[in-house]
Amino acid sequence: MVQDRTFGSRLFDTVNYALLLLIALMAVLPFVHVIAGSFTTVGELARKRFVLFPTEFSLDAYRYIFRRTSFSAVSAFRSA
Amino acid sequence: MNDELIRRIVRNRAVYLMILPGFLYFIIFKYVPMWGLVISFQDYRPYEGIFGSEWVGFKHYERLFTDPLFWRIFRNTIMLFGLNLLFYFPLPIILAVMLNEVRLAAFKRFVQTAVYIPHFMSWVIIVSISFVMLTMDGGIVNEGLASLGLEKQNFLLNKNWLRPMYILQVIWREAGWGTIVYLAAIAAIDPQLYEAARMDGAGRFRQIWHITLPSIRSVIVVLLILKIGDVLELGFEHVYLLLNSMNREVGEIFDTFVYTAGLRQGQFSFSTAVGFFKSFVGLLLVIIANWLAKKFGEEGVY
Repeated sequence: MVQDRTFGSRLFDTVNYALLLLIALMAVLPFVHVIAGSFTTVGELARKRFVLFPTEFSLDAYRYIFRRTSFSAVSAFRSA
Repeated sequence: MNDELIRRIVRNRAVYLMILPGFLYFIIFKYVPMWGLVISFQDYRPYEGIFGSEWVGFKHYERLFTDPLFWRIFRNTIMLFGLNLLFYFPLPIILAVMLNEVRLAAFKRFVQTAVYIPHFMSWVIIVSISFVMLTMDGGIVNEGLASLGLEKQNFLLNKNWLRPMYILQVIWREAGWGTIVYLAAIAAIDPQLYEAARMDGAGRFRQIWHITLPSIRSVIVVLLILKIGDVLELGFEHVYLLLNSMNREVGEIFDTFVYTAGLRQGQFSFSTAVGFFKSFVGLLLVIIANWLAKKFGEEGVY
């Protein structure tokens, strides 16, 4: 579909792309935050409010949930 | 005439066989259990069973209309439904139109993937993540408010925040997935219409307003009818996860009440009456919406 190169049309496109990008990010960021937060240390979570990429990589959280006995589905993975 | 009918069925037996599982599903799981409604006319006691429980006629239905609790639940349900219709329903349409205007295929695919993801997360995940973000105790929303100098809000316990939270979660989860049907409908529009409009000097907005939207009007109407029929299926899972003793006043809807009063407190007969009422209202709404659609010249759902 050929589109005209008028100013109005290009402005429309710019705004459209910007809004869509914003929407896409808003839909996905909470998940990114939660997943990134799961791979970082408690200290980093307390310092930085919103972790998007962990600078201190750590598997503490996973170790913790695999150890706790009350997570019946996860404890199936325990060997001890 | 019967012979002719039998012959036609036999000739098309493959089609009937294919329909059979779905048909049986509806008979067994939807129609047969309906006779359980009879317990709403009794004072049902599980150990007496259906045939042993005392028959009380419309006693529970009378309670329905006089119990103020019932009207509060009714109001809550209607409010959530109204919010859903008003704020959620237009969004997939708008999003689909916006996506349709994108030339760059890679960008379009990226956005679509991103907005489809929340749909695949269960309500438990959506609500849990929302709680993590909204908590007073280090949640990023409150931290953000604090750093801007605004007061921290107790989103999770303050009953005034229940409805906004509900609708934002619905939008987050479903708006993306909902675009699929509309995108398919938009893709079917003849590009010559757009060319003709451009010849006549129409800008982007006008093209959308005069071509895109009217062309998908039928699809919008059908989905609207379906949604209205679904209204009272507000998503038990979702609302139940949001409820706590502080916001129950605005959050309790029919489904959660039937669960709480019926299964937890054992008021089987009353909650059956409530459930029946809800289904009945839903049926009425579908019939009305379908009739309205036909009045507007669109095809109804049946």
